[in-house]
Amino acid sequence: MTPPPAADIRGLLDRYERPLIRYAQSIVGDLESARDVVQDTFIRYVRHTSGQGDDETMQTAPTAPIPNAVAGGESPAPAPVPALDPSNTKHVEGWLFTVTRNRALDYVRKNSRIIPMPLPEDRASEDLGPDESLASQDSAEWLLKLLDALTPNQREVIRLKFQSDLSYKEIADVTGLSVTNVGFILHVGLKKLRTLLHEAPIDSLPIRLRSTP
Amino acid sequence: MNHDDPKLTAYALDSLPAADRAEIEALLKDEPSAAQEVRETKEMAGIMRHLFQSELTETLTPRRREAILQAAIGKPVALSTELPKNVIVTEASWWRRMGVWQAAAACAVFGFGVYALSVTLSGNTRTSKPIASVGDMEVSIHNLAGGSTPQGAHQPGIVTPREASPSGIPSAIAGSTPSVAPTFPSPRTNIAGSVELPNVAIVRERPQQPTMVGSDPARPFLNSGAASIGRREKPAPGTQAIADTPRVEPQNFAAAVNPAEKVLLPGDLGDVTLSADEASRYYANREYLAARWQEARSIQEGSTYADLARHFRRDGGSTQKDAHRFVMIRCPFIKVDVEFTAEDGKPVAWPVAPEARIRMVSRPYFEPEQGR
Repeated sequence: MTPPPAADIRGLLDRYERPLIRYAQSIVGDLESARDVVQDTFIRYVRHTSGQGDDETMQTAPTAPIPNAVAGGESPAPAPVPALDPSNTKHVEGWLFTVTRNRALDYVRKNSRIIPMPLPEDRASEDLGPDESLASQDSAEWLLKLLDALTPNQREVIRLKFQSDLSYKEIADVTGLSVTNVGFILHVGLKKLRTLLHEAPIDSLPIRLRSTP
Repeated sequence: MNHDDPKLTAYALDSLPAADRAEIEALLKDEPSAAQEVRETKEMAGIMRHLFQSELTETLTPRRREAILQAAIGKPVALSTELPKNVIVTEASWWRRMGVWQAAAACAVFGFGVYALSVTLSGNTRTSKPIASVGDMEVSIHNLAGGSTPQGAHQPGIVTPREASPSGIPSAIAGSTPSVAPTFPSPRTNIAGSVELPNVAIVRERPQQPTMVGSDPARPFLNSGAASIGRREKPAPGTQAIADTPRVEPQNFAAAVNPAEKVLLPGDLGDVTLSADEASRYYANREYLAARWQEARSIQEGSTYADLARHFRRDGGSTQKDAHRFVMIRCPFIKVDVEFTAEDGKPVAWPVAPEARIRMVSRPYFEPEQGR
């Protein structure tokens, strides 16, 4: 098998590096480790598609539970790596997310004794004006705190849905959950977020649901 | 239909099969509360989408992309996690990525050219000279025992990219077998537990964009010259803020600081200068203590003695009847005072059972070890 053309890889990088990095970061904690994981995923993709025999890619370990510090008491399970058809965009997307997830979980397992300490630069920033940036940052931080109230599974499914715009089926493939389970987790997670928004004191809210009666 | 049905959420997210949509739409006509549910879910989804999309700013760095593309053209490339721990690979500097001319223009705008000249005239230059340049990367020999290897001098046992890889890719990245095997003198361990290597080949970035001193008083800055107590100055070209250096593995803390440079820590009445050796320890200890602090703060009211005993042991000093002092195992200077409670809520005296609950725990405090 010949390696994929560099142009194809550039296209994949342009399209998926950002969501994959953020997804990996949501699992491993810090940005540089997330970049490690994503670089590793892409190199495995190249090796895999060029038939260089990357047995590790197909491993579905880690089997050990994810430490509570990261998983918040629940242990996201690794998902089996789907078959890869490089000509099918959806296959490639699913494959990249699944391998990123498994590699990130593997990283967390191997580094479970290290207490993650996010750096200031681990939070994304936007190029906004000072006022806009401040307001936006307040809202974003407030929302991210809301997300902390969710279970790891809920956070992960919500992130895959709204950050990466994956379908229920694709989320199920990436996480190893059933489609029904994905629907349920998403439903419960969003409902909990809405409840938290309703329960928060009005004057502390940087955002409100406009549709609230 | 139950309003707490995941189908309502799936409908709001346009993820419901067509067959089920009719059922939901009929429901929404009859039940305003269900319609309200759907509206709120749609709005919440919009907020989440906006939040997450705004986070999508981080990309792979040029070097990481290059490694992937090298793999795509069939070059042997090591996975990022396989990089040797003694080699620091950092990113291309901003001005290198911009191109020489743009960088020069930017330098002119910010007046660094003048500043660079003044530094050159005063003799404050890096003593560690690059011995090779590959792409946007410099390779230099740092002799942590003192001084640096003159440019062009060959050191047995030191790998340089051009020696290691005729393709121009450093062996550390290319993963190929170097022509000169990397053999390092025996490492010695410093007090922070990191390992210092007397001679280390460091693949290091070209100088980064200097950061204005004073923009963040919490950040220490490197300075290639003498200490500047009582005043603040911009870091000289060729130096960089230590806080801007990439995170490195603990064993590389020592190697991360150029021995020719000093670190300025901002103080209220003037900066405090650290030698390279002190800076290495500062860097390592700061990370270590931050981790210990988190460890100590993980013990809270309601934790058990078993939880506590994973991180703390009883202090050897005198103990009151129901208040006990514990000392952190990994850092005996950190202590906490703890009171336990039995199942009936009453305070309990020593010895306590592993499942005894903590009724009160003080904030961690710093106190010398017994006998010191």
